[in-house]
Amino acid sequence: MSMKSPNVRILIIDDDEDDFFITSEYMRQIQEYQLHIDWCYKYSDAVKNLQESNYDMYFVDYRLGARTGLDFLKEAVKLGREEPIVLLTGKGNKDVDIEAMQMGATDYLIKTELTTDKLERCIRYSLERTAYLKALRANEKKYRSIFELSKDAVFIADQELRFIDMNGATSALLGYEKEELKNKRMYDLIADEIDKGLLQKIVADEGEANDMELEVETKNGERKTCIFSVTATVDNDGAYYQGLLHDITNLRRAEKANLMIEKLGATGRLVRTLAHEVRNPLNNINMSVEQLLQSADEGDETQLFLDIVQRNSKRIGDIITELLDTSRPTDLVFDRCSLQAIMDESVAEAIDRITLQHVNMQIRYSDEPCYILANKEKLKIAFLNIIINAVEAVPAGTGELSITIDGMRDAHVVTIKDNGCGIPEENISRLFEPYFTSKRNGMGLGLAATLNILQSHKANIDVTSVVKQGTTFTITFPASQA
Amino acid sequence: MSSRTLVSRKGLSATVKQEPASDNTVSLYEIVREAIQQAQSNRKDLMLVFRCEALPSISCNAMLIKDLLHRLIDLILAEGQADSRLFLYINSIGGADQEPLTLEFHTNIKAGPEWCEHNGPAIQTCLQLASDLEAGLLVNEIKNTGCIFSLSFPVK
Repeated sequence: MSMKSPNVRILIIDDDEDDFFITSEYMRQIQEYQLHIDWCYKYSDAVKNLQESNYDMYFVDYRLGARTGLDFLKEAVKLGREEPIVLLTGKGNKDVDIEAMQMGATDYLIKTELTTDKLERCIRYSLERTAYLKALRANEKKYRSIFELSKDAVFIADQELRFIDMNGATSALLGYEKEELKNKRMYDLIADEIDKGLLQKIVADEGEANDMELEVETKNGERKTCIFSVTATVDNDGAYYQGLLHDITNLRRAEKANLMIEKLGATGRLVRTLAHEVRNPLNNINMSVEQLLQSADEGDETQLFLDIVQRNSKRIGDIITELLDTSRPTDLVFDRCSLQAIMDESVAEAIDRITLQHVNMQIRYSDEPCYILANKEKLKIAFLNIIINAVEAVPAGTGELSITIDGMRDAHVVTIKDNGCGIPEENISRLFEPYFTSKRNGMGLGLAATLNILQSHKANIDVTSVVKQGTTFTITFPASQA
Repeated sequence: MSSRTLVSRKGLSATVKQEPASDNTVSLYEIVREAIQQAQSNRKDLMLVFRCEALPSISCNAMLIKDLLHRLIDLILAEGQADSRLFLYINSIGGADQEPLTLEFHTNIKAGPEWCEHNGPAIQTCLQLASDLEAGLLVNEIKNTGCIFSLSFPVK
């Protein structure tokens, strides 16, 4: 069975009909292809054919009246055409040859030296080369698209880990425009100095780093936890690095929140059992004291001591009730409220302390109301607890308190930041535990209740603190759509 | 009958004849509440965090004290004086038997020289009204924080 010769449509662009005749005659003797040869003598018609992609290959004469074959090549580049273009000329000119090749011509043939063999070889090489280039471009497009559309930050960097090229996710993660990133090194964005040193050492020693958990600082100062991998690659231009940053900030937050819920759940169960066990004997004490008080004489010293016993029993009862309230999952009724309005009321509640402490308070809200589903009274208490803690933590006279509310499409973020004494790292994880306090007269129930309320609002709470510099509470609420 | 020149916040002045008024008992809390409500209804864009403690009633010229507190609150709530959302906290000190009463207006506006220059006529009017009530008006700037307007009434 004989293989059918492939069809190839060829356009010869030449203002000289005789030249077209000679060239096409040579072509017609080619056996390997079924050639369909057309002639075009007007430059504008040739461009139109190029635009409409009517031919598989073009042979264009260097001289085309006022235009040249190079103009046709330029037009093809501009239009993004990939069909092979062969430049024909009457005399050998090395400069034109080089220029034509640089502009993307597939080949350069001298008319006086044309033969059937030469033309066949030219057509075969050109078509094969174009097929390879097309496949290469398709591959490049495919991988470029994987690079660009990746949800993870993918980038290429030099040996100093200075950004060379990066995808959109890198800009989105780090908050910098691509051009801004090109002036930065990956090391500059690592928040922790120890991590920075460690990464530098690993990259220098091993030429790669795999799955390192790092905190990167974004343009607006936010810290994000990421898994970072980088690999060295060598090509003709030398060595460069391919890096990948996978943002796990939300995952870590969720893990932290789950851990906290589990801890609180376990504490709550223990507290409820304990409270039940304490309340029963406490009731017996109270009833007995009441009996004794009835039989005690007025002004008797026994009455004084019984009063003390009764008062302290009541105190124990109140503590148990408060503790139970803190550990019980809150079941609330929610309405659509503006975060700004709730925060204003919380600030108003604390404003006496704020002004008497001479705290420099800066309140900045998003212009548009940030609506959430909230139990206004409870949320007011939650904000108030955080604000009061901040006011108590800052130095009198030089204290600073910043409250911001930023609205986004799916979430609203409340930030309460102070320049107070800060919280040691080892205490941050215990901050919301019931009965954990660093205050002399504190019960350690304020933030436990706050967490309980915020969790009822499906809010995410994040605390960052530096000792002697201050603390920032970042609370993210799901937005309520109208 | 005496006459008095009033200067508005925009610098317009008018001389008014004033009947010698007798003193009445007026609730300072009610006047402040009314002044705030009026300011909020006049300026829908007014973003204010406001808190007022329970203020006592005093015996004085009702018209003058009302005028003074309305003007003072207008002065404090004037636009563009604070870097952040405006707040105003009003409390009172003293006022018991034979003890002078002071109303304190804590706010985060920056009442520096530029503010004084800009609000000169309105400040003058407030001072004049305070003087007519035999009261004293002081502004203390608190570094980085804002300022406290103190309105002190004499013991009667």
